Amino acid sequence: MLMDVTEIFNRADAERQTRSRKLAFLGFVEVITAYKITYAAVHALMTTAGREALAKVLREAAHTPTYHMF
Amino acid sequence: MSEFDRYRRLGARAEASSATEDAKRVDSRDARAHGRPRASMGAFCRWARFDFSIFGDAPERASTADMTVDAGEAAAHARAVVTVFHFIAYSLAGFAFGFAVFVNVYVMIALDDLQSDFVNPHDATRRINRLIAWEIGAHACGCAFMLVGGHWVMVLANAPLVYYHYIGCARLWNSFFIHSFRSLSP
Repeated sequence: MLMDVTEIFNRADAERQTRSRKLAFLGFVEVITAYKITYAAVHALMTTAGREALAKVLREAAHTPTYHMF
Repeated sequence: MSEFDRYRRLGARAEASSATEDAKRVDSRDARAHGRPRASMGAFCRWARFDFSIFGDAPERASTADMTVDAGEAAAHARAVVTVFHFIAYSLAGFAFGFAVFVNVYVMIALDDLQSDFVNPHDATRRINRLIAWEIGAHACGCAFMLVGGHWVMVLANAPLVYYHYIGCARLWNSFFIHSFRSLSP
C-alpha cells in the first residue's frame, strides 16, 4: 500500500510481513501459471496440426547454417 | 411421453432444420459437431475467423453436415488453435504476475535499506509509492489474462488480493483520477 513519509518507520515491519505473505501467494500463482503455459504448449504440439507445425519448424531450423556451426 | 422427451424432440427438430440451412452454405465454420453449439473461446475464435498461421489454413469442408459425421480433423485443428490462444493468454498473465512479484521484492528491499539506514525516509517512500499503482495494475492484468484464457479458478483465487488492493488504495485511486500520475510521489 502507499507509504507515508512520517509513518514509514512505524509501518515498516507490518508492511514487510504483508509483503512476505503476498510474495508467497504470488509465487504459488506463478508456479501454477508456468504449469498452465507448459500444459498449453505441450497440448498444442501434441495435435496433428501441431506435430506438422513443429516438424516444419525443426526442418527449417535444421537447414539453417547456425545449426551446423556447433 | 414425458415433458423432457417432448422438449428434446422439439430441440432435435429445430436442430435438424438449422443443419439443413447450414448445409446450403458453402463454407460454414459453425461447430455443430456435438449437438448444440457451445459458448466457448474456441467457438468464438471460429466465429470470428481468428486463425494463428503456424498451423496453416483450417481444413476445408463442403458443409457442416460433414462435421456431424466425422469431426476429427477440423476439431483437432480447432483444438490446436485454441490451445495456442491459451498459451498466449497464460504467457501474458505470467509476465504480469512476474512483474507483481518483482515489485514486492523491490519494496521489501527498499524497506530493508530504510531500516539499515542506507536511504532516508523520503527516498524510500518515493521508491515504494511510485511502483504501487503498477503492481496493482499488473496483478489486475494478470487476472484478466487468466480469465481470457479460461482459468476462472485462478481468478477466484486471486479475488481476495484484488479486493485487498481495491480497499487499501482508495487514496491512490482518488489521486490517480483527480491529479496526474506523477502527483503520487511525495
